[in-house]
Amino acid sequence: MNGERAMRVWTATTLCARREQTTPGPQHACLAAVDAVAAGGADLLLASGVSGIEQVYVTGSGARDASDLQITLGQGPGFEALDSGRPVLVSDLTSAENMRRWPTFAPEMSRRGIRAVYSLPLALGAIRVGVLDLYREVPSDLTQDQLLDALAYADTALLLVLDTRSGVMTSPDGNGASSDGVTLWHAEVHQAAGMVSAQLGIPVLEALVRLRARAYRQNVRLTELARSVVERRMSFDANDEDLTIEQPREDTP
Amino acid sequence: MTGPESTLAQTFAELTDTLVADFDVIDFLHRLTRRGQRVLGVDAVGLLLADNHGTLNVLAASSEQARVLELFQLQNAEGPCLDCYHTGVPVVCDDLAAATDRWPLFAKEATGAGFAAVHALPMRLRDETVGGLNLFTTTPGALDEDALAVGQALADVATIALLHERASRERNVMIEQLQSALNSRLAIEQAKGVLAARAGIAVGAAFDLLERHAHDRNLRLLDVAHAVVSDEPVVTEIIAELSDTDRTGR
Repeated sequence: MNGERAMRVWTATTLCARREQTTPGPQHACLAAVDAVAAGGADLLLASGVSGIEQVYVTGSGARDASDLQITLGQGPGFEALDSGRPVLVSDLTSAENMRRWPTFAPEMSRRGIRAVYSLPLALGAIRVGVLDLYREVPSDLTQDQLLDALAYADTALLLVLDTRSGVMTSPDGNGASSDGVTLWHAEVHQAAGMVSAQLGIPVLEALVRLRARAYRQNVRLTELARSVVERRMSFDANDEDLTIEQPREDTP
Repeated sequence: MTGPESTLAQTFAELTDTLVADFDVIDFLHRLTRRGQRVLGVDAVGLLLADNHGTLNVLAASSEQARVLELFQLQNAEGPCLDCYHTGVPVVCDDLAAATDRWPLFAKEATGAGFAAVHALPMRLRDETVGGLNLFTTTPGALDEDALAVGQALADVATIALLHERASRERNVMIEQLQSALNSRLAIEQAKGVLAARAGIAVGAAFDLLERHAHDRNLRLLDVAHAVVSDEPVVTEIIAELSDTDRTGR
């Protein structure tokens, strides 16, 4: 649990992007995660619309089948992780317990040669962005180190999804997502997202995207911007350019 | 330590009762910090937990005042809780005014907020530290040994509570639990923001509203938070419960 892991994960993700001679995107986090946890394949599903799900990336031969099956059936570890916002780690799909849990999905998966699934939610508070599913052909647990890596890759994918939606250009040298990454988990950022969501009548995820876009455009830290929203020195208007910033006032505890 | 021993016994009995029954970890930790503040006779209690990035996050606090929450959060840069997290041993500072060399930023902010002394007690799981319990007092001086022992017991109960849901101490389960607890806290922050903007109140007051609504209806704080963030009719209901003191206070 440290910044070193986040840095290593970020480096691996940007390397994947560089190999494709493109800027880092969530698919690169997905691709790098497969190597890091010795998985056979992976997919990245993003929530779209009210209850829809969109498969934005798949890698690995068995993974495409597995991913399609989850989406077709609308069930599986990925859906559970997305609903609950918690990781769902299935080390053996054919265990009695898991066969009962997913009577259709589990046997179908093992027929397709997939025996273990680890689903990591891309979640922030009440926001559910999507899920990173990692698949293995042999039943096995993730080691502690692999689980921490997998969570870090899911966080990186989440950051990159937000960056893409905010119009933030992520440069391969680490500007953008990784430099601002940790602040995305700060309390005031989420208080501000809640406020902007109410001010504009939009979902909290969308509000977070707008906050991040404005922080990027004005070249201020996300936490600073969030604080000025929470302290009501800045508000969001339906017209994004219509913002007003007052001078900071004395702190009132 | 203030208060008779019976208060202490009652607190632990109450806390452990909750642990046995079906419980929500965020509600539980929130109650733990509030009761802890009273039992230990301190002025603010905060529970900080490290996330996957090694960042300390406030999971629960006896006061939701923005300025107090900031003091907890600030300790990602420097402060007793960060030191405690790194060393795994209690950190005592009985006079913050004299600690400006040790923690220039933190000491200044803490004294500015009216605090004079601070204690940080580790949340330990076997040989690992996962977070810390922070105790602030407005008068200088160290807590006595008895109070520190009770404080440490509260920190241990908090750690157990975090692992309790699946009654397992397996390392991977712990990682999941911590992750999920931190996420729950963020959902509450989002809900605070929604309520603050809709009702035109401060985020601290928004928390009180959220908590009162959950408590009066015997709902889980987290469930109410999710409903608020999803913009369910409950938002209007909660705002209607706003009293005049809520509007003018804070």
